[in-house]
Amino acid sequence: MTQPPVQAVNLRRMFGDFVAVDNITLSVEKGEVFGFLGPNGAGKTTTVKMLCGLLMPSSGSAQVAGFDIATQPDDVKSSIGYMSQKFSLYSDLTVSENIDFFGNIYGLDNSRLKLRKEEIIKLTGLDGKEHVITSTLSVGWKQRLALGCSVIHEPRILFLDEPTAGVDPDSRRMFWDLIYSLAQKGMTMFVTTHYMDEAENCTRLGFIYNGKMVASGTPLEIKRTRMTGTIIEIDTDAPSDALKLIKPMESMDEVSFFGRLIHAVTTAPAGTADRTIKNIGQLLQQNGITVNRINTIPPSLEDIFISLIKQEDRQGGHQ
Amino acid sequence: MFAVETSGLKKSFDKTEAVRGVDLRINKGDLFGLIGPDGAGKTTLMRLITGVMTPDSGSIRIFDTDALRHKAEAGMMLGYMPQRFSLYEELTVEENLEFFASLRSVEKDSFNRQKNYLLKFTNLEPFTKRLAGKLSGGMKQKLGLACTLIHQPQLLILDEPTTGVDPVSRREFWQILDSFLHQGMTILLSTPYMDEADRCTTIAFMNNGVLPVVDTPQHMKTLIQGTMLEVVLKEPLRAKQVLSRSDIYRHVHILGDRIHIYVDKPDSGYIADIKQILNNEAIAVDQTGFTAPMLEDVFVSIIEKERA
Repeated sequence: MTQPPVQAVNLRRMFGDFVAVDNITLSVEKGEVFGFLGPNGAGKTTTVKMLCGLLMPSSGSAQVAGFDIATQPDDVKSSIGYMSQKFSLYSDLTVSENIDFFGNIYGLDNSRLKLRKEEIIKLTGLDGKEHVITSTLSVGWKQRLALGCSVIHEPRILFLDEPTAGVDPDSRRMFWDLIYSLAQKGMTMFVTTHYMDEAENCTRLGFIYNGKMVASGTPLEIKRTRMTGTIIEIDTDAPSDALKLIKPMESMDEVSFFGRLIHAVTTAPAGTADRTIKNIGQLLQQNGITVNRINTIPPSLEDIFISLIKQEDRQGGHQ
Repeated sequence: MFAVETSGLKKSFDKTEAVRGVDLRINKGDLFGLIGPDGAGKTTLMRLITGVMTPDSGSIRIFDTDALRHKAEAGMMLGYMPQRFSLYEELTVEENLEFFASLRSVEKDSFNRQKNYLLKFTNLEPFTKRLAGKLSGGMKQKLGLACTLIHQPQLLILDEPTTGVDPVSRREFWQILDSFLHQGMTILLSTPYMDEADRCTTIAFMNNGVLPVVDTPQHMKTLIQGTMLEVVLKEPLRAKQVLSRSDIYRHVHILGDRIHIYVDKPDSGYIADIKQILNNEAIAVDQTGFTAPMLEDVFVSIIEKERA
């Protein structure tokens, strides 16, 4: 068996007394699109900095592209690519000039640069736009160019930091297709994000909170196994009154408005939802509130992650 | 009476027509979502409604007041939070609120009442004396909202309020918005996130400076006649390439560990057919099923139609 492109064992990083990353173990296989998720301050950036050879771990170890991050950080750096939302293209240069610029930074010789430029133009679909000034490109095209520039040196692993944050769904789909095609060619994608729509696009996820890995698996596995409780959606004529009545009910975890609707998250196991629905219906009816609709809904990834965060907060409340 | 009513609204910059004749009606108490591709004209439309920008032609009424003729009066009835809302980072939370109140000439009694209410509502009470520059991203966003609401407007206009906000803060922000909505406020917001659009009472889809579709999210989803066939598998990209060759399965969308294929009806014959096609290419299928189209599918299909 060959070694996975990213492998970390008990990776830990302290800043003074503060544990930013707490014994993280993870491995990412070749060609995977791995989503590394967590809220702000969870330890995502610190972990990525260590994996990129930019920050030494306090303890534990990691190999990236077969190199040790602590003893061979320069080899790590030359084997990876990095792209973020704030990726800086030179807006007054043409598409072709930007590719040249990044090729030179990565030390490509002229013949290899020429070859790679052709490949990248083809890959990103920028054919015919080579001599367009970058500032006049749409956001979607700029992003494709930025991705192209970040893989000019054919890295084995590409780190992407919120690559499509705030981008409209149409451009986002095109960009992700590009990511998948790189992954299919064997490049490993390590995506850091707190956006759930980006998470849905990954083939496997790891969720970090308080420096610890609290869940991992495919999006489907996580949806199937990690949600405790059930979400009940209620459509009534008097949502404000209904909310006040439902909130104090037994086994209610969180009751909140969802537009004109109410979402009630119960702590009760999935099988008992029917009884809870009946109880809510009766309570509202007794108080003269018309219920238009009441049913359970499948949790989104975001619902699950918020539920995981709450579980962690309850367990680690003393910290 | 509508909270917002525009007719024939137009605005150009040099040669670009950003807003090309928008007739918009937003009911009182609505949570109205504006969606559309980048560069569709969403921000310009919001700036026209808020009075930050003057239209080339057309009319705007805010709660029945002619907003072009009575600019100050209309301005007092609305609060606008632009994408990059500038707080004064070297001022405290409280001082920021005071500053925005003074801009809006809010009287002292009314200010104190509204300040206490907003601080409580946004859970910023414990941080009254903290410098705005020292707040987390989510807290800055909530302070921005509080500053926008200090003069008690009945119409709140938000331009992509949750971009850059993490899921925990985003959820809290939405809970605050929902509570305002239930107190009778009217909210107009733009968003790139389809799950947020799904929470709105009405959505307007904007493209090339016009609003081709205005509808409820529930009804908008029925604009796609067919259904989505979901296939969980290991090689989504290869599956997409293989399926895209056939005439029937042209619309294939990859979602990490699965693909969505648009079909006209939930016919199990499609499942058998697709399994066969993938099997011929030695692509293993883990699981199949039908799923309802998402708002995102509608979004993409409208754009495709407009492009054609």
